[in-house]
Amino acid sequence: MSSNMIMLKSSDGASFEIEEAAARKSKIIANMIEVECVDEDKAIPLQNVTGNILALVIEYCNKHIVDDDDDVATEEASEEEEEAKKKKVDDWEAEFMNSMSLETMFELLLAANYLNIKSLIDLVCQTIANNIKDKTPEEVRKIFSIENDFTPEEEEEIRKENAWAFG
Amino acid sequence: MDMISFLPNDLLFKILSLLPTKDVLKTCVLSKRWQSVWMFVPKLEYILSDRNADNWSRWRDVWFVDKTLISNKAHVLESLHFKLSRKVSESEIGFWVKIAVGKGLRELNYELSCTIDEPIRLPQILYVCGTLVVLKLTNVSLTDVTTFPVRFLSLKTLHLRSVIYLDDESPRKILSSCTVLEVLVVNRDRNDNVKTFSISVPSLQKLIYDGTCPTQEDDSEFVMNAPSLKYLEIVDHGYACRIEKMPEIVTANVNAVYWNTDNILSSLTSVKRLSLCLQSESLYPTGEIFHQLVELEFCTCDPEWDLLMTLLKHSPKLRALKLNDRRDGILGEPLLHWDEPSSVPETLKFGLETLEWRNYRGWKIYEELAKFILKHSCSLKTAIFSPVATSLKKKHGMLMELALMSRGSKTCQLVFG
Repeated sequence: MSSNMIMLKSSDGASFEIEEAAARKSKIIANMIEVECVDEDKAIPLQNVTGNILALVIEYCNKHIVDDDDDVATEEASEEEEEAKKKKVDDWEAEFMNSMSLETMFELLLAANYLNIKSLIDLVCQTIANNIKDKTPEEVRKIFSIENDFTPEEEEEIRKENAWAFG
Repeated sequence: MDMISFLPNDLLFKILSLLPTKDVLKTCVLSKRWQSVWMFVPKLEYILSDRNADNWSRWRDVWFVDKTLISNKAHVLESLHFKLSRKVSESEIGFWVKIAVGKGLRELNYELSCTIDEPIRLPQILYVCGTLVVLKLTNVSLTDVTTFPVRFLSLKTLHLRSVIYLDDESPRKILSSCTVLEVLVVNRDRNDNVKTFSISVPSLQKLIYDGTCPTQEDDSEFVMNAPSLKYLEIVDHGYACRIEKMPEIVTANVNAVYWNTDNILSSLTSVKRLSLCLQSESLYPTGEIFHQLVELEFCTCDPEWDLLMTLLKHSPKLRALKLNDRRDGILGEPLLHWDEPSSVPETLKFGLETLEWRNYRGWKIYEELAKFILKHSCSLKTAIFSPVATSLKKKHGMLMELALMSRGSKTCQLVFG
C-alpha cells in the first residue's frame, strides 16, 4: 500500500482503500489523520456506515478530490474555466443523486453527517428539498411515506391557522 | 419507511432552509412530528410576486411574513431573503427588517426586481446591525444615508445593485463604515445621482463593478483605493479613472473606456491573469512592467496591435496569450494595415507557449498579427485557432492560410477548434 492510501472499514466488515486526499473530505477522518490515530496498515473502522453506503461516499470523495480549496480556486482560475468545471461537477452530481433511491439517499445523508463531509451533506439536502418544493402536503406525505397521525379535526384546525400557506 | 421524519433536527432544518418559507410552513400539517419544525428553520425566503394581487391577497402576504418572522425560534436568524416583483410599503419592510435584526440577522438579501416602482428606504436600524455578514440590496434608496449613523462591524459581503444615492457622499459613507468588507459588487443605476463613484476599502479582496448604466457626464470619474484587492472585474464607460496600485492583485478583467486607461493599467502591474478590452488609442503606462503576468487575454474588437506589442514587451513571464472578439465583430472589418514593430518582444521569442485565438475572422489585420506571432514565437507549443462560423469554404480558406504560415517553433502544434 502506498503511503498516501488509507483503509476504511464499514460496519459490516467491508474494507475500502482510498487516497488520503479524498478521505480528507471527511473532517472526522482528517482529524484522525492529524492526531495520528491512523496506523499505516490498520483500517479505520466506521461503525455507523454500511459497505454499500461507504462505497457511495468514496465515489463522491474521489470525484471531488481536487476542489478542496474552492475559495482559492475561484480567485485563481478564469471565470470561463470555472464555469466549465462547475458544469461538469454539477452534471456528475445530478447523475450520482439520480442513480439512488430515496432510502439510500437518507442513509447517505446520515453517513455524510457522521463523517462530516459538508459538501455532500449540502448536495443530499438540496436533492431532498427539491422533492418538497412546490408540492402539496399530500404529495410530500406520499413521496416520503409520512404517516399522517392527526385526526381530521386536528388537521383542519392547523390548516385554518395557517390558511395563507394552503391557499 | 418514513426516514425523513427520523432525521436529526439539525439535518431537517438544513433541508428546510433550502426552501421558500411558503413550502416550509406547509410542512406543519404533515404529521405531529412536523407541527412546529418550521419555526426553527434559520433561513426565511419570501417570494411576493403577484403584481396584480388584490387587497385581500396583499393582506394575506403581509400576515404570512409577520407570522413566520415573529414565530421564528431559530437560535440565530441566518438569512432573510425577499424576492419581490411587487412593491411592499416602507413601513412593512421596515417592521420585518427590525424584527430580523433583533434576532441576530446574519444575511439580508432584498431584491425588488421591477423597475417601474420607485425604490424604497430600509429602516435605519439595519445600518448599525452588528451581526450582519452579508448584505445584498437591489433597487433600494440610500438617499438618506448621510443623515444617520452607519456602522457595519461584521459585514464581509456587500452587493449594491440599482441603488439610488443622494450624491457622491452616500456610497462613500456606506463603504467607509465597512471595516472588514472583503467582497463588493456594484451595479450602478441609470440615475443614481453619483458623479464620482469612489471605493476606498482597505480590506477589500474582490470587486465586481459595472458602471455602464449611468449616463456619463464629462466629469464622471471612477476612484478606487483597495490595496488588498486580489480579484477585479470592471466594466465602465466613464470619463476618467483614478486608481491606486493593487500590489496583491491576482486576476483582473477590465472592459473600460476612460481617457486615461494608462492609469488603470499602471495599478494592475502585479496581476497574474489579465483580460483586457479597451478602446482604441489606449495608452500604455510609461515605464511600468507586468512582472507577474502569466496569462493575457486581449480583446480584438478594436485591433490595437501596438498596445498588445507594448504589453508583450513589458511582460517577461507571459506564457499564454488569448485573443478574442468580445463584441462579435460589430465594428466590422477595419481597413487598417499593421506595421510590424522593428524589434520582436523577447516574451514572444522565448516565453510564449500557448496562443489561443477565438472568433478568428481571417481579416487582413488579423492575418498580419497571426503571421507575426507564429513566425517569432520560438517556444510556442500550441496555437489554437477557432474561426467564426461562416461558410465552410471561407473557413477552409482561413485555415489553409494559417497552415501555410511559417512557424518559428518546430514543435508548435497547430490546432483548429
